[in-house]
Amino acid sequence: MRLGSMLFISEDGFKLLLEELVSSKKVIAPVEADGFFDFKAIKHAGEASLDYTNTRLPPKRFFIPQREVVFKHYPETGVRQEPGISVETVLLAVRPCDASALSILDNILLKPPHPDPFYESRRRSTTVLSLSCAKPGEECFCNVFQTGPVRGSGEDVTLTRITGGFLAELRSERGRLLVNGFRSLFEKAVSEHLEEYGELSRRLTGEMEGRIKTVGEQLVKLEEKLGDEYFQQAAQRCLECSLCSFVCPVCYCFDTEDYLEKNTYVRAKGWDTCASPFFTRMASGLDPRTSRVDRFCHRFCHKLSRIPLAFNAYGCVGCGRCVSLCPTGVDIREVLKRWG
Amino acid sequence: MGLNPYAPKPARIVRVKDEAPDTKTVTLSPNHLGGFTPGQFAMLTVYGVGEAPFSICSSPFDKDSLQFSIRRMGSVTRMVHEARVGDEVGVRGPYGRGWPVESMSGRDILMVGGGIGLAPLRSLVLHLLGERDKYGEIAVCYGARTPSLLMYRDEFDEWAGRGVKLYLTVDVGEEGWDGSVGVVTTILGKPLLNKAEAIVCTCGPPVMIRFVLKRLVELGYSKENIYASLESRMRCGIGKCGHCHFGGKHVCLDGPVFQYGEMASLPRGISPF
Repeated sequence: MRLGSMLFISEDGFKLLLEELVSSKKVIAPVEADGFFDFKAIKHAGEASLDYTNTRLPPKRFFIPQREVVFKHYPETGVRQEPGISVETVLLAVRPCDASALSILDNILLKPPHPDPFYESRRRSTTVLSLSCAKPGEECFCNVFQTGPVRGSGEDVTLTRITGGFLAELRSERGRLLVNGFRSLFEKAVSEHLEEYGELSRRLTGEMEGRIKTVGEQLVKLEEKLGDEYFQQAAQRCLECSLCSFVCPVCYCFDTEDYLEKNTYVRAKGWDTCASPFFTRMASGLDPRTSRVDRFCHRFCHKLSRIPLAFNAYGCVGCGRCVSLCPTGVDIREVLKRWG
Repeated sequence: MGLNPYAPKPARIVRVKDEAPDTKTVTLSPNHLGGFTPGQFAMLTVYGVGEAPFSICSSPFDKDSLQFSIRRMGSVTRMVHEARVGDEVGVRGPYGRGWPVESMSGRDILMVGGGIGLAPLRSLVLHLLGERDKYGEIAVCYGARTPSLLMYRDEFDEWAGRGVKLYLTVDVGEEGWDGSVGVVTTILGKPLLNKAEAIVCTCGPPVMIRFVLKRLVELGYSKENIYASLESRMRCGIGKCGHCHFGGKHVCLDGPVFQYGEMASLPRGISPF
């Protein structure tokens, strides 16, 4: 089996695979609870729900916890680092958009000379098995960034549901190794499988095509459009509630907090957001980004212009969560429609 | 797991000096940073309280200790002001891009400081004096609100004795002050340097930097030779936390020292223009 190989695994074979994975590794999968789907570490194969549009929250918190201790200092004995968690993990049935977000985060958080060791140890121990969408969500626009709906970037294995089972595309060496460990469950895909895959891919792409046209070069010049009336007005709707950042699979900014806990000095890091009016304010009171419009625009420029200029991939994957969850209807698709 | 970039190394405060009514210079030992370029910064931790970025103000030739001049401002700086000799703090760094020392050989150098903005320039002065013969004229134009807020006053005679031309000014005089009164731009024309070739390094409040840059160009200094050190809130110092990210530049990685042209392309607010 080479990288890029297309394999088939039957429905029953997949059940066996899942049981094997759950018994030997930590498996994070979509689980239904209270009418929502969210990623959880599962103990039994039966807990995973694969029939969902997308999870309410992205799997980001398994790589960047909402809050984590990054070092402890014992006054008597010195500094002790918090060890990274390196349990072998499988992230199962993640949508291609969310998997793509991980590859964007890799660019930023693993960038030398200072890779984030906490993120790094989790990424290095996790195999990402994506599941292609069967039906795009109402607010989805992954087609714009080529981060779905069938395959994205950041996946080790791309799984696509077809008649009788799943098509598995080996996307990375890590994915190849995992599949190799269960070689007997997989067979080489035949032309019928590939035709069905091709058809699904065309249908989904066609379904999304009318939503937003693919973005062009001019999006990277978004910074020049900031004086536009659109931004002045849209920013007035923003409550600066941070929700868009917290539900975003790509947003990674953090704040730190130092405190004393039972004779030990602790530093924790936790999610932060550039929408916050405190984000750039210095102790002196000086603040290089004082206006709400500037904060509002910074978020879009960072995702749609600055990250692409630096890493050749957009900082948005089109998952639609910020669109569907914003309490005042701020909609990044409006920016894409105008200047994409 | 690789090295933990968020964990500072412990160092002791070995000296505390009152630099100005609101500013103290602390000397830390050991110097975990080893070598650094003047203009680089370090993250200083007051254990259990917080961490903040500070320019290193000591000489890069000092391998044993590090100095920071710290103005009382927020929670971290307040605790530094209350610290005593022997107390332990945390240090990590050096971070960022410092002054362009490699391009200074054989050139005249002008430093323009305002208030506590002299701190990263002091490190440069000490660097240049450590190999004085390599450089042309060295001049410092320095202004503060009042004479008592002028930092490093006790070192000025030594700097002058070793070939630094010093021009001082204050916004408001005090009894006994017979020097210049006025903002720092009023004395920028005094140093007689090879303006087309001279390297200019400036640090101070944003509004000062704005007018200094304008005046420097009017005086005939070349834009490509002008550098300023900018300030931003930071949490990590290593380009991960997002706080100092402006228009595609991280102050912690691409700065804090920026060249004139780079500053012109920064977004409003962080750009001095």
